[in-house]
Amino acid sequence: MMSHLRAFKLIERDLRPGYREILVEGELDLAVADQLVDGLARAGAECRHILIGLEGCEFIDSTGIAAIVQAHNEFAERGGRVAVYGPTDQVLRVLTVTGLTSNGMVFEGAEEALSAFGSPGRA
Amino acid sequence: MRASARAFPPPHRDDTGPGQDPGAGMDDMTEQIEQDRLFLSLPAERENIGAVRAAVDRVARGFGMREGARSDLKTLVSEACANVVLHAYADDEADKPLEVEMARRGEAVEVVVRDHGQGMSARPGPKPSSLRLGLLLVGAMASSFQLRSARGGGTELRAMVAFEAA
Repeated sequence: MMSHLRAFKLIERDLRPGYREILVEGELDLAVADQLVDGLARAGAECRHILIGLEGCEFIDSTGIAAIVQAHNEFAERGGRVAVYGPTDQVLRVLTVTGLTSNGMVFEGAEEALSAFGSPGRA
Repeated sequence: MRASARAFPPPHRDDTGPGQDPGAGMDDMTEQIEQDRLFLSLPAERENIGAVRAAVDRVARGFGMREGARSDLKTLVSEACANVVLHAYADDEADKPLEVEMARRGEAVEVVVRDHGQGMSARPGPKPSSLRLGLLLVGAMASSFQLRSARGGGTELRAMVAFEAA
């Protein structure tokens, strides 16, 4: 009766000192958003910048958006940044409607997101 | 967002078509798919929202709705269900039904997400920012929607999602 749902998964890796990437796979909704909140809080304690890869994220809801926005605010307070890249159709639509695409934190690919980090002087 | 305190009619569990047992327990998900409508009733738990999305998507695909519109529909239904899970019932309530109805209305889908909880004003939710984002998304995905809540009488979100965006 129930359809098979692809398992939600977070993959974390440190790119270089101070920089961590979290890849989101599957559907990011209320059932699992706490896992991302925890991962972002851990990253906040250990890194200056965070990259969130959404290429494998098939769905995002408002709790996922709230987690990203909260991390964005907390990292910014410490002079760090949060960048999001690779949104697929539904995810891009939700990022757009909620205003995240106009905040300069959404990028097409990891390279562009990283190069945004590479200019320390920029807001 | 302010919910009006209008009373809304009691749930019509008996008009959901043949085979629906009004006395059925809510411990298990019940699902009915007829040619042009869906009725789901399941416990309002966060783990169940994905199953609702999948069912809604499957039925919308049967209606001939394209992926972009189905994706909007899933976003809306997911937010409505999350609202029910987060805000409708006290944690210790034994019976926490979440009901989802969906029917084709010409070139649109009408979807109803309903709970039988305390109504919207009784207990403010713990995460207002997420709630606001949720309603923002509902408003963006729907061509129209209506939220009705009555103290002690549950909350019902009724929305239309067009096959093609206007």
